Amino acid sequence: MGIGTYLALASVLFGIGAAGFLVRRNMLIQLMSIELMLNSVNVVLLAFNRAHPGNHDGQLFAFFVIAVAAAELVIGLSILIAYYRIKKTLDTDDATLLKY
Amino acid sequence: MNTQILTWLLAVPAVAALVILAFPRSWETGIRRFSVAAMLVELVLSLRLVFADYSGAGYNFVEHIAWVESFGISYKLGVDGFSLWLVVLTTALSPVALYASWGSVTKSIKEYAFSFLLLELGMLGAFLALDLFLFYVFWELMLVPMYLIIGVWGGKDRVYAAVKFFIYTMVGSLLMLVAVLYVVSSYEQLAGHYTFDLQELSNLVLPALPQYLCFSAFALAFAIKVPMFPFHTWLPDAHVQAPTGGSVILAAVLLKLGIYGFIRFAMPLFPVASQALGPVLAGLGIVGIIYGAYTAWVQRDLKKLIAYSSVSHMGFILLGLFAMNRTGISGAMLQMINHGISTGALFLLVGVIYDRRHTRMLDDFGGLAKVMPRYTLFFLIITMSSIGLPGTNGFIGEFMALAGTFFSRTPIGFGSSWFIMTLLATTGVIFAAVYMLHAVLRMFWGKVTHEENESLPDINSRETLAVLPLVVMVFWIGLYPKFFLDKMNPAVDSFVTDFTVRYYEGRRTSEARLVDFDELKARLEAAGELAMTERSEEEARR
Amino acid sequence: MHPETTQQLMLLLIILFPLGGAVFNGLAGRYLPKGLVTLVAVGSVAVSFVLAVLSFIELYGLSHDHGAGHAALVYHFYEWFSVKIPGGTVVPIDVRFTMDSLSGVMTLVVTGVGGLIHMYSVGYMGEDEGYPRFMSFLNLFMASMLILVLGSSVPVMFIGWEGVGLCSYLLIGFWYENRDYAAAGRKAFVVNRIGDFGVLIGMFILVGVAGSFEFADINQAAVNGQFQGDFPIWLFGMAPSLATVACLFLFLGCTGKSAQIPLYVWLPDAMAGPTPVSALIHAATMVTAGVYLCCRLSPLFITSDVAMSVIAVTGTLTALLAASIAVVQREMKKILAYSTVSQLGFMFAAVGVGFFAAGFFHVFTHAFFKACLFLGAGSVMHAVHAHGDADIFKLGGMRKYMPTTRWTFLASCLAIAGFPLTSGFFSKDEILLGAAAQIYRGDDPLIHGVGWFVLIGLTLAAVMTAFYMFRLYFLTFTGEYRSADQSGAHPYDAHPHESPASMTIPLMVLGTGALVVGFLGLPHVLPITGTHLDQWSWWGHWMHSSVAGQPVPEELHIVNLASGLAFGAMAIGISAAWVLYRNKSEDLLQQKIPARLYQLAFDKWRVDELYAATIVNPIKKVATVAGHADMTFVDALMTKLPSFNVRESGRVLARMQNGVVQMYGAVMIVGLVGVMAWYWTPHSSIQAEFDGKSVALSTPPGLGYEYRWDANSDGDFETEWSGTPSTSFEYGDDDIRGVAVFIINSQSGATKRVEVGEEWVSLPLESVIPAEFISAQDSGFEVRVDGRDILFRKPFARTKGMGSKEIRLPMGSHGRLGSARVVGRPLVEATLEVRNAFGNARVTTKEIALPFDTESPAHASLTRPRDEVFR
Repeated sequence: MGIGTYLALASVLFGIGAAGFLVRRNMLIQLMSIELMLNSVNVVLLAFNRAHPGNHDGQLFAFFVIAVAAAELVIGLSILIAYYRIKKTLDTDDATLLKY
Repeated sequence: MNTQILTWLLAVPAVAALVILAFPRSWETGIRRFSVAAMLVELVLSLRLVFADYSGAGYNFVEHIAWVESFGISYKLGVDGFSLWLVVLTTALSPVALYASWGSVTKSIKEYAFSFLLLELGMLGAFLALDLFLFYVFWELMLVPMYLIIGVWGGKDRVYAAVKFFIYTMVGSLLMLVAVLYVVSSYEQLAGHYTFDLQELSNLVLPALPQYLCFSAFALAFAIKVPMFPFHTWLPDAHVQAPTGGSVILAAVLLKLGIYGFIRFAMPLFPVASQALGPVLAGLGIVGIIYGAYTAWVQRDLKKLIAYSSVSHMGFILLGLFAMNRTGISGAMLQMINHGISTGALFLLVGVIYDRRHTRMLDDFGGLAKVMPRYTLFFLIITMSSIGLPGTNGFIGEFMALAGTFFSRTPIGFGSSWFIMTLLATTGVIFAAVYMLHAVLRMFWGKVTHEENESLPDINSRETLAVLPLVVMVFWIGLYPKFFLDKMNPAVDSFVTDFTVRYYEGRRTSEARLVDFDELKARLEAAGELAMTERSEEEARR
Repeated sequence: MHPETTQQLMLLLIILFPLGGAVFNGLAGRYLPKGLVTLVAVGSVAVSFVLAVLSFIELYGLSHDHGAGHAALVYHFYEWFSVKIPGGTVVPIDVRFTMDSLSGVMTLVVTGVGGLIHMYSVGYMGEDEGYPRFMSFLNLFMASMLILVLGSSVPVMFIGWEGVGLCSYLLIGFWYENRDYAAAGRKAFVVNRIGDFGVLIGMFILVGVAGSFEFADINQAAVNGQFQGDFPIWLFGMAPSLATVACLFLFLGCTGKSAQIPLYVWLPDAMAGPTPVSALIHAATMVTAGVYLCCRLSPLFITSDVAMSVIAVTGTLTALLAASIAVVQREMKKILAYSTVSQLGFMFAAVGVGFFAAGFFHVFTHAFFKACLFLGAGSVMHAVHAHGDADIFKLGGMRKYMPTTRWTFLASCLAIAGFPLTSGFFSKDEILLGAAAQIYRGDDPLIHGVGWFVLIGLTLAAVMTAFYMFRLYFLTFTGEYRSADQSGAHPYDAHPHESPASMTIPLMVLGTGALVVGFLGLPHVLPITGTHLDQWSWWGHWMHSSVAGQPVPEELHIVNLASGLAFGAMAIGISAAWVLYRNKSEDLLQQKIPARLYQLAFDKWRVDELYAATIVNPIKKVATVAGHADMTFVDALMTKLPSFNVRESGRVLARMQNGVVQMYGAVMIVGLVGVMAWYWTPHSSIQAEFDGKSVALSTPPGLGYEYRWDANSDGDFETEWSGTPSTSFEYGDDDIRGVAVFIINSQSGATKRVEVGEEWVSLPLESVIPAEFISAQDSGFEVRVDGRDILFRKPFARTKGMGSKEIRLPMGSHGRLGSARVVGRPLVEATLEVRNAFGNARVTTKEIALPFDTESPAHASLTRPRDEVFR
């Protein structure tokens, strides 16, 4: 399998994640979409790491991404829960306090 | 020679303002006396400037200290024939205005005195600065106290007027800042270092297009300040709402900064553009003369009437300035002082009547001559000065500005339209009589029509003390203007020569260049090329 | 024209005394006893008069030493300010006073008549509560008038000129509690300001041409013909002379000050002022200032036939118009006011026909009889306690009550009507003589026509003058007193009385003057034999040096014609008045002429209404519109519109911040796609540097780019794909694709490129060089390629013996055309193909102008040395 296949997989994953983020109104689903996009990046990093076997930077970066994603999820989920306690909903259409 | 005097001039109001802050709020008399006393000290200090030698072209009392060296910003002050009388006008009218205010301003005395001292600092700094950055700092510094004076101690719609004043002026000056930065960066590209020093920057010759753009930016800032038609609409609002002292300073000094900016910065830095656009500005000046007079005529609020008369008077000044010859520029400079004196005095006098009746509407008066004869005398004298009766100061300025326009047929003047322009502008002399005498008729002549006016007290000694120096100046300048003109003329002469050199140099160039201006001027003088102007005048006459 | 001068301090004192009196009474008069006020006011003018007499005697003595009138007293006070005129001359404006024969006489009149009127005012205004103010204003007027008369330059005269206008304003509106009076004062000031506008412009022309503000220098310049040049702006297809334009502007000033058409309307209204003011300012002195100015500048005025004709016609028309109004008026002062306007018309007619001395003589005599008439009218009004003005149809029979007033009034009436041997007879005679002389002078149809017009017009006006003056006299002084019966609408005091001595003495002095001063103009010899006025009367002789004039004809019949007309006019006018009004109480004239015509004349031909409808109201409408438009339209445009824009665009942009996170994300992705699209294809540009014959080509490097070059664009790539973004190449003859000529501004380097071939093309020098640096010879170059050279030529150049008018320049060499450099350069083209990591490629080509020829020009020869060819 060439690197192109991996990249194609990553692109598809990223597309699904992006579309999910844009289309879905549930914040939980949106967080999951973000995870999906981050994972597609991980796929790319790992694929390139495999193409350059002498170098492990790609794997290193994948770990970084996982760590960052975990941290982001912790904060994101806690905001989500706090938000749910106030508004009793997770619909982003109702979370428009920041507009003009 | 005490070379620190200009710093002292700036330090006195600054320190006095800080000291005022330390005064207890309840100590009102102390604040009043202290602030006026500080301004009087300032006046005495500034009189020292008058006794310097102004027969040469350069600056006196120059102080130059590096401030932000990496950007070439310096603390550079100096005074020459252009700024001398404006500085003295500022120091002379500030105490008058503040002193006159103490009759009517009763709330927040401390802040009022603080604002006034800060305002004086800003105005003096702007007149004395020879560094563009320093000038800009002072230029903006003036806005804040004036904004407060209008917005806190003003009339009914004071907040609207203050915001309008602030934003209007700010818009113009921001564009000016952009132009300043452009000039400085052009200089840096050629010379390899930054400078905001006016004298160094004057070695920079810009090609036509950047000159047009930068001049337009400068001109907008200054034209708003002047105010030139059609950028004048902030002025009536500001004047009507401002307290008496604020109106006096606004009319007498602040407006002058616009013209001063033209002559000190915009015209020397961008000669080609000011030459090409000068007739346009002068034309707008003429529109202002006539339009201002017309609008003044139909006003029913006395302060508005005087505000519009300022638009008309400033038109004469613009016209004289862009006539680009000695007579016109000297006339414009003198007319600036005259306008400061006569309009300042008019606002003082309006304040006198406003304090008594709490109205400025012409309809509410009539027959005051019977009730307040001394007040009437003062008002008439200032009216005559305002309409330019020979023997008063107004005549000299108007005459010279008009004569300058009339003789402005040099390559750096209006050329063949001089006659029409003079004709149009001179009709302003007629209309000035129309609107001012209209106001006098409505206020003073006839029978006393309102009961409230029957027992108005005449002008009291405090108010007389404020107005009297201005009346003396009206006649001094009117009868012996030479004292004032002799200090200006060398500066004006060298300005005209320098402008000619810069103009031709700018006309020749199509990309930014650095020249050694002094060397260039000396070379051209030696080659007799500066006589070009005179020659063309001769040709125009034939 | 430059008389011998002598420094004389008295001239300054003549002015300073009344000025001091004005300041003293103005500031302190209210707190002082009336006696002291009187002493200061009348005393200062009296001292001034004595000093004037002393100065005049000295002047008279001097003129005997230097020849009549060729001397002048001057007092140089200080330099006022200066203006710089074209040519670099600094013209000083000195406060300097001069007394020569013209201003000497005028000074005597002003201080003398003025002194008498001051004295009269003590009686007339003594009871008024504003007495100190009144005296102060009168004194101020005297000072201003003396500055006007004695000022030796136009600007100094202008101080007085506007100063008397100010005093006129203050004194007309003296009873300011009556708002109509104050409005009349304002009208006077504003109308005068219109005239001042003319004086200002005239002054600028004068100094521009003569290079001096001094009257003497201006007159000298006029005599030297400096004003004969054409005015730079042409009117109606013809160029008027400088003198014409200057004189017409100055005359506009005169029409304002001296109440001529079209600006006379203020003078009748000015009668709102107290009667002494009418006598002093609006009859004897101020209103004659215009005539004085014309006489002062007579050498200038006389050089312009057009301006003179305008003045003559205006004067005549004014004389006729005002007289026709005076004939039907009912109020004493109103009649006298129109009479003044009419007499001023006479004076200007005299000036216009070139008889300046005669015009000024009429100023002189008029000062006596008109002051006397006004004071007499004042005396009558004082007697019957009339306020403002007195209706003559409610008076009558005054001769019984006030004989002194009656006799002096009669004397003045005779004088103004031109009764033989009174002063008016001599002065009016000379004016008519001037008109008659003009008819016989030269054969210019303009001069002839004006002469006829003036002669006939003035004769008619003289008839009317005699008529309305005696109508006034008969209705006032003869018959029965019509207000004796206090019933009905007769408001005046039933028991008139003669005025006090302080009022009658001035009347007697002035009345006597009205009878006798004319003898100063008595011809020395009759019949006339000389050719100039100055040779036949003391007056003309005395005026000769300071006033120019037309020669008097020698023919006796002209003189007889003028005298006959004057006498006839007087006789007809007085007889008609005798028949119609003596001992009558009705206006019989009203019954004899059509009612509508009578009413129209009574309404002053409705000129005020005409001005109101055509000038004042439209301007006022414009002003009203401007006043409203300023705070609505202009403010909306300049302030409200920008702020509206900012607010509304902010509102629109704020909508985009809708708070929906998905929206923000979508925008982000759109941006991301845009960035990726930019990087999809490679971007490059070619730069060339020259090193000897070798050309280094380069492009800015890009990440992951590969390059290959085809330096001469022949389709064969010289290099293979590689990561280095540069190459170098030497071009040969085969690579050249064309030739371009570059025109370079040698100062700035501004460059213009013109492609040339074998055909001639023109060279646009002016697009590079500012027009003023291109001489006429430089323009119009053409250029073409000739082998390896560039040929320049001037297609229309006159060759003047030169063998070839073509200039040859080798390719790549610089030449000079005027202040421009030119160079011809061969053009080549370079191609670069760039490929990026996506595998997309792009081809870029660039034209390069080589700064050298591709081969050594072995066969190209210079026909001449370069310096010679290229100037």
